[in-house]
Amino acid sequence: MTLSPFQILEVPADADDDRVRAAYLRKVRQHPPERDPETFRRIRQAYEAIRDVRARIAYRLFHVPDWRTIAVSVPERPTRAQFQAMLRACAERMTEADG
Amino acid sequence: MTTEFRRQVLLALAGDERVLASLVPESPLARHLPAAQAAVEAFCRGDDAAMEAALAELPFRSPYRDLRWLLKGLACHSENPAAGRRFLGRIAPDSPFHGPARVAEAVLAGETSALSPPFQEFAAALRRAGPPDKLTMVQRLIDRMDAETAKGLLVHAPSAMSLYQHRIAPLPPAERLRIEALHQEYYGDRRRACELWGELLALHRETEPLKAAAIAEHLAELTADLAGPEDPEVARWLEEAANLDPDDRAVWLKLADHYRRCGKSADLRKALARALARFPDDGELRQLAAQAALERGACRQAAAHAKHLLRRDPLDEQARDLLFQARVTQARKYLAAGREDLARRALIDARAAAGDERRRAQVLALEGMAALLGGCPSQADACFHQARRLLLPPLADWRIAAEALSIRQSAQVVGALLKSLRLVLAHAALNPDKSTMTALLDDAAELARSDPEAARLLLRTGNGYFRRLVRLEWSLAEIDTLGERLLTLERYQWLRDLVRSHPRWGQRPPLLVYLDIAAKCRGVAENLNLHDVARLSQALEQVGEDQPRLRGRIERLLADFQAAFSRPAPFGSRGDAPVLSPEGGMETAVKAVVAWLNPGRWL
Repeated sequence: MTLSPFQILEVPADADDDRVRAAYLRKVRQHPPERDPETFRRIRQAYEAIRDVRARIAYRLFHVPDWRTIAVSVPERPTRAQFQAMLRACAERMTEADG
Repeated sequence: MTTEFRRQVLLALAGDERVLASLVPESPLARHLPAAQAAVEAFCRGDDAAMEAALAELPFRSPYRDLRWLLKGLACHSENPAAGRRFLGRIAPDSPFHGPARVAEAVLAGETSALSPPFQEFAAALRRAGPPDKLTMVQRLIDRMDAETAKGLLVHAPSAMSLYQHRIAPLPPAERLRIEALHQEYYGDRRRACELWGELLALHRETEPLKAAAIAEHLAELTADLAGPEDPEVARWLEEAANLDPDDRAVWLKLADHYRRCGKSADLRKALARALARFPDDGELRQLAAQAALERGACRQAAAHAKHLLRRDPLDEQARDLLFQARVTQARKYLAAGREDLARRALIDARAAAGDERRRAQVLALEGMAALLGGCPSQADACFHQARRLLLPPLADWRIAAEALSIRQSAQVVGALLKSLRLVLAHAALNPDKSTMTALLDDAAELARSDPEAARLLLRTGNGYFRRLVRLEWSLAEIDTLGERLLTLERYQWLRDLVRSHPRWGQRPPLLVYLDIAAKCRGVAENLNLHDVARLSQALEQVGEDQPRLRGRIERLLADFQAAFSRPAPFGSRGDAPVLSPEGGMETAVKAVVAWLNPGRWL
């Protein structure tokens, strides 16, 4: 699943500059570049995207998630309503079989 | 387990209101229901970790215990159907989930055609039948994802906005406008997108200036893409962004860059003054201001900016060079005006800022000019002699002649210096080397910036020497740099000779083709003919991914050609010029252009 920069840094959407910076430093300590370069790159990108108030405004205004990436990352699953309909149909079948 | 009880298990999980109302709160059916529902919800969301966690909360004796095999079997149906079947096989015939397991097995086996309609829909949802269309996917994601991501995806399918509002949250008018504007920008009409962004800017202008400023900056980028980077609308939007958020230094830099590119020195000066009032210690802005002042000949201002930069960082080489340039330009002005005394004072300052021997030789050359003006030819000779000791022969003489031309020395002095230079160059031509040639061209380019006519005269003197360019072995990277210099200096024939004598010309590498055509059309796209356009299109096809700069230059030349012929023709319009794409190939490009230029005659 594609995570937003706020989710990657684990900060709320209304976090201020200091909080974003603190979260970034905490994450970098957890995933230092020499040990986990790929995760570090993602953390760095996330930080750059929301590092100050202007960046956060630009992110909220202009960021468009790539629907193809999300389409690939979401497994094919029925919706809850479809699942429940299937269970209901099975229950009805049971009644019919008994009848 | 009786049939009625098994039915109740399924209906409770299906959310049947009558069954839910009849449940005894202490019964296992009621107590374990939240964990079972959470597992189903996590499965449908695609969050398998959450599904496992919820299933782990179901006790072994729970009536929902077989739900774990059903969900695990379904979860791995696409990656590992055999494992899926094994999980489903653990569900006993007397389990409430035996029926759903049979449905799941049919899905795993691909035998869905025999299923009755309620199960068909369930099976279709599980089958991966290629990527879904955008609307279907956004609708599906709205059911499963967090509100922010789902909202972001509405840009791809704005028609799902009503579904989003129905299922998640209402969208304020500004948000709907933003989604529609982004959608138009990505998929539709970019001009319409500009209009929508303009409406959104108007909505935010009073209440949220930072947001409005970001939109104005975005509009500047969109306009530059649509109408070209030098369109006046770009400046309007950038000015608006700077007014709305004057503390955003990036906007000031963009605005200054725009004015500089368009050659609007008065606007550039005003914008930089406003920006520096906000950010007096910003190095980048200060440097831009110094360069701008130097370009418009305001030497004292340029020197003041450079000194400010040096106070902050005494080791700033660029600032030192700017200060040197400011002093030297000032000295040249004084010399041209016959103020030899003032020129000498400026040259003392310039000498202090001269960072290398080339710069020191330049000061000596100007000091020699001052001595000549002051009527001391012997002192001038001493200065020129010192300059020749600092630099190789053609470089020092070239610089001295260039300075004489730049301050418009008397014809007699210039004539004598050019004559001496011609002799030195004739001697140097016996053993030409690449670094000297490049340095001479650099000096000529510097002179051309202030006095193009003087630079032409100087280059004419070096004509014989530069003819030796073709005798040297230049790599393609060197040709690239050299080609750009020769184009700037308008030495088109030298460039064509250089390119066509290169050992790799036979293979027609895209760089050489581009330089050859750029020299042939003398840097003016309107001079291109159809064959040139076709050759450029073909070269563009061959440009590698690692050559974005060359790609940009070729595309710009082609775009300029299109733009030149898209202007209204004096004898009626031909319509829009054809869009030449690299995919089309040479033949297609030629046909398209010929058909457009001569619709009735050629085809």
